[in-house]
Amino acid sequence: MQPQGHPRRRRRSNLGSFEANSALDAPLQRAEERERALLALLQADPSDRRAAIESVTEALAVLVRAERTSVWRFTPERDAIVCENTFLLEELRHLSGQTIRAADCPRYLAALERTLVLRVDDALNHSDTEELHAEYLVPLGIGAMMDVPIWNSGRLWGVLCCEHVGGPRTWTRHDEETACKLASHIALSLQASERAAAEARWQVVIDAIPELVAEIDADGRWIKANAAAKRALAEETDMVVGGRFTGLELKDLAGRVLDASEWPGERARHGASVRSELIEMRSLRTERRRWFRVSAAPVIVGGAIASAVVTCADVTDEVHLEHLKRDLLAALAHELRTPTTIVKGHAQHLLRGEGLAADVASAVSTVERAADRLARLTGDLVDVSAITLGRIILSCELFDLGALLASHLARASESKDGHRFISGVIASAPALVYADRLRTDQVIARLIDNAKRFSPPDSPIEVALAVKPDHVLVSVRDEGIGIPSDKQPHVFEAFFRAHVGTPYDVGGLGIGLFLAREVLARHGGAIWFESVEGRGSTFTLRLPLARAAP
Amino acid sequence: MTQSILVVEDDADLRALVVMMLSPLGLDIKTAANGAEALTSIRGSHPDLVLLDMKMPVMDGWRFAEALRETDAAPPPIVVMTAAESPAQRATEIGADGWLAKPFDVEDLLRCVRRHMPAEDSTPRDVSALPRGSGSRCP
Repeated sequence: MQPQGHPRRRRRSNLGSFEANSALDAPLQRAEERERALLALLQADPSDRRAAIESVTEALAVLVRAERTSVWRFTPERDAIVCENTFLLEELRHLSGQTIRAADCPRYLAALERTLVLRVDDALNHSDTEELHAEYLVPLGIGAMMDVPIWNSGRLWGVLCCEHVGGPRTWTRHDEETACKLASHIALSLQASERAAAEARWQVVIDAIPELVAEIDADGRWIKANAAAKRALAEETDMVVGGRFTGLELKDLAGRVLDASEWPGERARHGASVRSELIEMRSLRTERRRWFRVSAAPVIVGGAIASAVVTCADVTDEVHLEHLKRDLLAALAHELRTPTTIVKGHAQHLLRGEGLAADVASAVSTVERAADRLARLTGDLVDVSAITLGRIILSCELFDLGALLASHLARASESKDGHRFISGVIASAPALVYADRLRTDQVIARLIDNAKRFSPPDSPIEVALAVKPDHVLVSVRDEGIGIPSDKQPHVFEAFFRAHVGTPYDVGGLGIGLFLAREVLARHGGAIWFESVEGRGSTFTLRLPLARAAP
Repeated sequence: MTQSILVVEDDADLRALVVMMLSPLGLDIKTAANGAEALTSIRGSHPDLVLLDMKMPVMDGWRFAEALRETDAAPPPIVVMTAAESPAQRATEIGADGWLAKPFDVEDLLRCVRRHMPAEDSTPRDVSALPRGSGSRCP
C-alpha cells in the first residue's frame, strides 16, 4: 500500500494568495481566507475534473495546514478506493494512482462507508485506521487523518482526505468545515464533468447524423448545431453561433417566399410542431438552392418554451427527380391530349352523322369511350404529380353541389349497367359551395364509379346529400365487396389498390381516392369511409358551405 | 355578313378536325399553324374570334397574344385551346376571353365558340377597358 504515485507537474496553483496570509490565525480571518479560496475555485471551469481536484487538494492543504491532502474514489465494485490526487504541501507536487483494497483494510473502508466524517486525531491508535499502520501510516509518517465524504448523485463517490505528518493532531471544527466545503466543490465538479462528458457523447451522436440539426434559443438565435449544420451554414452563409438566421431565403413548395415568422424554427419557437415540410432554401451569398425536408419542435423546460430544435434533411436530389417525373408526366399528358382530342373528335363526328351501320357505330362508340379513358388517365397522372409537388391549382367558383349531384344521379340512372340508384338528396336550400367545380365533379364521379365497379350489377347504390349549418356532406353507399380491414388504412394512398391480385381486381392506377382526399383537403374539406368486407362501403365527403359570394 | 373564325393550331390533324367540327356553324373558317401565320392572316382578314393553341413552333400562343395586342387596336376575342394542367391559368396569362381544355367534345367546342363569338352587329371592342385574364371555362 505504499503509495506508488508519480510526481506530476503542477499545472496551476492557488497557493500564492493563501501563502501570503499563512500567518493569519484568528478564526474570522481564517474563515475569510477559506471563503476567498472557495471563490477562487468557483471561478475555474468545474467540468475540468482533474484541475478542480488538484485545486481542491492544494487549497485544503494550505487552509488546514495539512502536509498531505488527497482525493480518493471508490471503484465501481466498491472493493477499493483509488487515489485520484495527492498533494504534498512541502514538495508542492501532486501524486496519484495509489489503491487501498477492502481485502487489505476492510475496517477502514467500512468506516468510510459508515461514517459521515472520519476524524482520527491519533491514527496509530485508532481502531478504524490501524490496518493502515504498516503499509501506509508508518512509512509516510502520518500521525492524524481526516476523511470527509464526496457525494455524487446521492451516492458516496469517495473521500477528501487530510493527513498530518508527525504525531497526533486535534482536527478542529474549522478544519472539518473547510474539508466539507471543498468536498462539496468536488461534488459540483463531478456533476459538471459528467454533464460535459454526456454532452460531448451526445454531440458525437448528433454529429454523426447526416441531417442538419440546430437549436435556436428563445430569442431566435442559433445556439447549437451538429457538424452537418455547421458545415452547411458556414458554406452558405455568414452566420455564427449565437447569431440570428440570416442570409437565407426560404420558399415553400408553391414557390412562395416565406416570411421570417413562417420559418419552421420561428414557428416552433412559438409552440408549433412542424413535421416534414418541403422547403427550398436559397443562399443569398452563394445563390445555391437546395431542397430540405424540415421538421421543428419546441423544447419545453419547466412549462415554458426554452428553445426550438430544427432538423433539415437535404432532399434536393429527390425533389429534382420528382420535378423530372412531373415534367415527364406533364409532357406525356400534353402530348397525349392532342391525339386523344383527335381520336375522340373524329369518333364523335362520325357518330353524329347518319347512315352508320350498327356494327360500325358500335365500334366507333368503343373508340370514343377508349379516348375518354385515355383522357381521364392522363389528367389523373398530371394531377398526382401536381399534388405531390403542391402545385395543384384550383379554379373555384360558387355552385350548387345538390344540382351537381342530381346531374350525376340522372346520368347514372340512365346507364344500363343494372345498378339501382337511390337518391338520398335531401336539400331544402341549395348546397352552395365555393369550390373547383370540375375537380369536385371528378371526385363524385370517382366515388360513384368505384361503387359501381365494386358491387354486383343488380345491387343498390345510394347517393345522399345532407346540408349542415356550415358544411355539406355527400355520401355514396354500395352493397358490394367492401374493403378488407387490413387494407383500409392504405385506401387513400397514391397508387394503392385494395383488390389487386384478387378476383375483384378491376384495374386502374389506384389514384382516384388519393386525388379525392387531396382535392378535398385543399378545399378545407375531407373524405372518409366505412366498409365491411363482403357487405359494402360508404364513402362520405365534406365540403364547407359558401358563407357568401366571394 | 358571314362571321369568321381563325383556328391557330400546329397539329394539322387537330386543325382539320376543329374545322370539321365547326362546319355546322356556317362560319368563315381560316387556319394558321403558328402565331406568326396567324398574325399574317389577321392582317389580311380580321376574324371575329381566334381559337388559339398555346404551345406551337415558330411563334407560340403567348407571343402571338402579346404581338396581337400591340399591333391591333381592336383585337378579336381569344379562346385558348390547351392541354395544360391548368387551362384557366393559361387563359389568365394571356388575358384570353375563354378556354377549352384538351381533349374536348364537339359540343364543348361548339358551345364555346357560340358563347364567345361577338354578336354580328357588335362594334369592335376597346380592349383597354377590358379586365385582363377574365377568361371563362367553356362550355
